[in-house]
Formats: sequence, structure tokens, C-alpha cells
Amino acid sequence: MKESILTTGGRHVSEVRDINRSLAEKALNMRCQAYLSQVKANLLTATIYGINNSKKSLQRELDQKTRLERELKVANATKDRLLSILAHDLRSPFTNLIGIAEGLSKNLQPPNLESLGEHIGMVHSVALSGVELVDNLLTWIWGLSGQIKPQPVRFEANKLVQELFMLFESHAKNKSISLKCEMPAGSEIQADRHMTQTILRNLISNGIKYTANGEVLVKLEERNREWVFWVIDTGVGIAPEVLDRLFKNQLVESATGTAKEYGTGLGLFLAKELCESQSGKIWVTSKPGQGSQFAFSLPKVY
Amino acid sequence: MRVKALDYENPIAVLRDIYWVGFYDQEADLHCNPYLIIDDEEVLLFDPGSIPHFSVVMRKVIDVINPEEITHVVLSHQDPDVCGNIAVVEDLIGRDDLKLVNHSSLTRLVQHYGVKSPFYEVDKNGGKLELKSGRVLEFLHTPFLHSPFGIVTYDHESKSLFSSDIFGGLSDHWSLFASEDAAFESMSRWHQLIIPSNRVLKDFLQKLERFDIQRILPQHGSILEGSFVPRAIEHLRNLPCGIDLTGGTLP
Ligand SMILES: [Fe+2]
Ligand SMILES: [Fe+2]
Repeated sequence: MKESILTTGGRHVSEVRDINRSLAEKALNMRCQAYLSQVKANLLTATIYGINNSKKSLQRELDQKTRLERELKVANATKDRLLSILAHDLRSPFTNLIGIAEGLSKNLQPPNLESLGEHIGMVHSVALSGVELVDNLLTWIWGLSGQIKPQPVRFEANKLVQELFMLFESHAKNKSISLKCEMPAGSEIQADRHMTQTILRNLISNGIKYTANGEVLVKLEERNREWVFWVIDTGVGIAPEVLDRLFKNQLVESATGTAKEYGTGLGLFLAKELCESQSGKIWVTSKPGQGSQFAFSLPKVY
Repeated sequence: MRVKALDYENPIAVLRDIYWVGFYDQEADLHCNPYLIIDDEEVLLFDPGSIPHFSVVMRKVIDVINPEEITHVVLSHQDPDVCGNIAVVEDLIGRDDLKLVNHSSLTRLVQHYGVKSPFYEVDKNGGKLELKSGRVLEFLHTPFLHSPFGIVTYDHESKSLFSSDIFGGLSDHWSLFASEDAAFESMSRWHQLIIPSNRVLKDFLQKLERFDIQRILPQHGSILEGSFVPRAIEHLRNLPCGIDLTGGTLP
């Protein structure tokens, strides 16, 4: 084309005009194609953008669905566990009490003071665990309805622990367990007292349950931003596979205690929920045969 | 007057300030006729045509003026052969103040071509457009001839009617200016194809009576001048079209 323009010297003018026309039209055509390509590119960009966006929102919906399914599964397992607690565990303290009462009425004559004392100890321990269970159930059901809201107050941690020790004193004595408390006298903390009491009660009760002959120690440790309570026992310890699912957000059945105390698994489950509702954490280290060290933290400000 | 044979590869001056910049659609065997009005400060392009003929039309436009001088594009109706290339033309003109001149009922449709310029909706501006020179263009809405949204344009200065598809023609012996009676035959073929009935034609022709028409510049077929104008009007007045030919029922 370049050549034909340059060598037009001898040619007819109309030929040059034709070449010019076709050049002009080619240029315009390219201009037109460029514009249309740009329109297409814009459409393509918009389409890709649209696809990406709908992909993202689809993924979001999918994630949410998976999460809901997981939560539903946990809720279902929790509900099943609750039903089994209601059906079996809530009944057994009463069955036990009936059994003890029957034994007592047969042994009343001739009076045997030693056996009477033993029976009264049993009644106390059964009643204690029955009340504990009912307390836990009530706290938990109360929490299910979304009403757990911590109400922090200042209180003496030492006093709280001593109150709990009084509750467990005779049961511990029967199992030859000494209850010890190591914390600075008059150490005040700020937390929800009832919640802290429930957590500690469950941990102490567990310590006693899984210990025969030994001690259960409650310690308070003050850190920069939090208080950490320790409940350390010298009991049977926990197998690694059980340890793994202990705080996995669902109710797991628990083993029977060293004196055949029954457990529902509700205690630790509740302890974890109460900790977390105060922005705290709960954890445990344990080896079979070497006791367990339960701990939970309560932030000073939350 | 025109002795020299016309070169349809070039823009053709119809008047000193009106140019034909049309093209021949070989596949449809149809001639399409975009026009330019070059006024003192403004330039109007009538019905710029289709995408495949963009380069032919714009090359002819460029032969006459710089496309950036175009201030108005008049869209008689929405057909792809009439304004399918409007978005590309708009892009080439590249003026922010370019206006698309059309009936308001057409705006919605033309937007589908992806245009960006503002619309000058004739029916919302008293049916008229006054140019800076004082030249007045008057528009008539022509429903069902053949588009429900169509307009024709009357240029008061040159006494020319830009008639859209009306007065168009369909023939193999095409010439830009009608010079033989065969032009009426080709008009018949065209109108009987696209006009729904003689009734709508007649109503329209009646509205034309108040105008002194020196020439008619249709979208298709040939430009009508001189005696061809009253003869063409008379011809159409008596021409049965569309539904008239089928005894009042649909074919
Ligand atoms: Fe049309
Ligand atoms: Fe047309």
C-alpha cells in the first residue's frame, strides 16, 4: 500500500483518490472496531466483576450454612444429653436415698451407732450431689434462655472458697481428702460472685470425686490483667483422649467417681460457659495417675 | 442542471449547505441516505446509518467537515439501518455538548444502543429546534409511518423535508435524484411493504399541507425535487398499503 502511494506518479488521479478513500475507510473501520472492542471489554469486565461478586456471596451463604449445621448438631447432642440427664441422673439420688433409708430401717435394731453415722454420711453425700445437679441444671437452663449476664461485684475469694469447703467437708472427710486453700488473706477480686462460685463448686466437687486419699488444693494467682484460680487434686487423673474433648463445647458423659459418685458432664460444661460469659478461659492439664490441674482465668476488666 | 454524472463514492451536495453522505446496502439491495445540514455554527447529521456502513458514511462526512463540528444528530426512528451506529458516531464526534434529536418516545429505545449524549426531545421543545443562526427546524411526529416513535424534519430555510422512511423507494435502477416516473413505482413497492394502511399515510399528508416543500429527502430511494414533490404526495394519497391490500385482515 505504501509503495502504491509512492509510485503514483504516472497514474490517473482517480486511482489516487480511490486509494485515499479506501485508506480513510480502513482507518475509520479500525476506529469503529476499537470502540466496539472497548465496549466488549467493559462488558467483560462488568461480567467478571459480577461473577466474582456472586461467587463471594455464594461462599458467604455456604459458610453460614455450614456453621449453622455445625451449631445445630452441637445443639442436638446437647439436647439429647440434657434429656438423658433428666431421665436418668436426676432420678438416681432419690433411688439412692430410698435404698439408704431401707437399709437404715432394717438396721435400726439393735442400735448401731457406727453404721448410723456411716448412713448419715451417705445421705449427706447423695443429697449434696443431688442439690448440685439441680443447681447446675437450673443455671444451665437459665443460660440457655440467653439470660446469663455477669454482674461483677467485689468480694473476698478466700471467703468464697471457705464457704464451699464447708459444703464438701464431710464428704471429703469420708474419702480421707484434705481440702486446702492457698491465697493471700483478704484478697479481693471483682467478678460475678454466683458464677465464680458455681465454677469453683464444680471443680472442687470434681476434684473430690476423682480422688481417693489425697488432697484438693484451691489457689488464687494474680496476674497483670487477670485472676487465675487453680483447682489441683492428687486423684486418678484424666486419660488423654478424654482430656481432648473435655472442653469441646458439648456435653460429654463423665466417668463415675472413686466412690462410685455419678457424674453428668454438666459441671465442666457449665464451668466453661460461665467462664466465657465473663470473657475468661478454662483449661486443664492432667496425666492418668498423677492428678489433674484445672484452671480458669477471670479478666480484671471486661 | 446536473450535467456531470454523479460519483456516489463521494458526498454529494444537494444544496450549498445540505449533503448526502449515504451508502448502498448491497445485501439488502437498499440505498440508505444519511444527510448533513451545515449551518453557520452548527452541523446536523440526519440518521447516521448502520455499523457495517459506519466507515463509508463517516468517510463521506470527513470529506465535507471535521466530525467534531457536528452538534446534533437527528434520529428519525430507531431502526438499525437508520442509527445502529449511533454510539460509535457519538464516540468519533467526541463532543460533550452533542445532542441527540428525537421524539421522547424514542429515547428509551435509543438508549439500548449504549449512547451517552443528552437528548433533545422535540415534542418537549415545541416541536422545533432553532439554530444559532435563527434557522428553524420543525418536527412532526409520524406514528405508524412506520415506527410509532418516528419524526420527520422540515427545514424552513431550505424548504426541505427530511422524511425518514416516508417517500422512500425500492428499486434496482437507483439514482440519488428522482428523474423518471419509475420512481413512483419504486415508492409503491416500498410503502406497500412497510406502511400499515393508506389511512395513516393520508392523515400525515394532510398535515404536510401547511408547508411549502421544495424537496423531500427520504431515508431510502431517491430525493424528490420540483414537480416530483406534488406528484409523489398525490401518488401516496391514493396508494393502498399494508392492510388495505389484504382486505382488512392480517396476511
Ligand atoms: Fe425503518
Ligand atoms: Fe429504514
